[in-house]
Amino acid sequence: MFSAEFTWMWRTLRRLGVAPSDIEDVAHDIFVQVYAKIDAYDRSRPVRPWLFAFAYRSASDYRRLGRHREMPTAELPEVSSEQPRADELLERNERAALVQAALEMVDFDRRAVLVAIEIDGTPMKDVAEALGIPLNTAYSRLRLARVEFTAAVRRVTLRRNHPVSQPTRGEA
Amino acid sequence: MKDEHTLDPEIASLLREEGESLEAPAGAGERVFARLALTLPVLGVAGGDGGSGSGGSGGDGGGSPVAGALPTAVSRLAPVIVSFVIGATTGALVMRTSTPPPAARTERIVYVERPALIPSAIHETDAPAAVLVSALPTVTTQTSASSALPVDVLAKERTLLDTARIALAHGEHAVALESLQQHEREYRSGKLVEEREALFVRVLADVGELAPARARAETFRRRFPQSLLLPAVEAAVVPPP
Repeated sequence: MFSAEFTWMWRTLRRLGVAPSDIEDVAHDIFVQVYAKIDAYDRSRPVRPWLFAFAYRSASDYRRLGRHREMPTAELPEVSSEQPRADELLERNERAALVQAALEMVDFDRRAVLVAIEIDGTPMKDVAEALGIPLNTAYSRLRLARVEFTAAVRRVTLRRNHPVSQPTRGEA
Repeated sequence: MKDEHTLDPEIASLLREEGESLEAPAGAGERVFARLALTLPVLGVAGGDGGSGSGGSGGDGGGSPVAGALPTAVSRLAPVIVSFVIGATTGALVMRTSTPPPAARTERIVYVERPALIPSAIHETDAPAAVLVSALPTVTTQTSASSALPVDVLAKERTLLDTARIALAHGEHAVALESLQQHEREYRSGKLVEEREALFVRVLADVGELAPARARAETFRRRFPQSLLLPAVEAAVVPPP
């Protein structure tokens, strides 16, 4: 499970706002908890929704600590490019950075639903169960998250394409 | 079910593509795994099949997921640990033999003159008056909302209002109202109150709630008489000819 799901866990924590430099620590703590509660896992069901609940709670706790709080910003965060080889890779990384910046602007609880549904493709029933919320609330959060995320993408893109700059003296 | 507002296809594809580019740094998995291999036995965490000898089969099918892989990790780490212990012991012995023993200390008696001004007694009146802890003024702890930095708050305000504006444009009045009400609850006198109130009037007018829309428009007119948004607010509540 660890080797199969570590990369997914890393991505999920990143999407839930954990800073890259802290992800290994948070992931370590999560897998300790997972190991302690493995008996509660129903092996007949998919593992990711179950793991997502751990990720959600840990990321939530992590964000409550003020020092970990990431500023929502229109600046694009850097995405590590392990294989700097082609323009398309760079463009892909830029798009990933855009998604991360926009995700960071979406309310945390709603973002969790958005990530689970739109990126992981988890069924809504499983998401609601993992997060411990009623199904209707999950749907409501998804609806709002989609609107917020769309707004955030547009705003980040706009600022990226038209950065605010001080007018120079000669300009009319 | 209630999935009426779907993502724009372009935005949805952005989300799908993002996963391919978001990679964990090289060696992250191995580092975390090595830490787990050391941490779990120390913590004595009981999980899965529990016993240290039960994870021999490995994989997901049999024992607990981590337990299955633990013996492998421990056996991999064993040479490192043994080398470390041998190295540390050898180093300590070498240090002990190569470091000369400390020279015998000869005790010297130093006479110091008594300071001229030593208060013979501390008068009670000089001592600070006792204060009851309960009488001290209480320090109010800031809530998370108020302790957030201004940039953070402004971004959050902006997000809520953008959500309302986009929802209004899509005809999602319930979403728009929910977002505006949330802004009103969390940022009653925020930086973007003027924008919120203008949007409120437009949403209310749009859903046919003309009486509250007009009341809000009137308040808006009094509160922000010079607002650039005033024409839009007034136009929203003008009855159709």
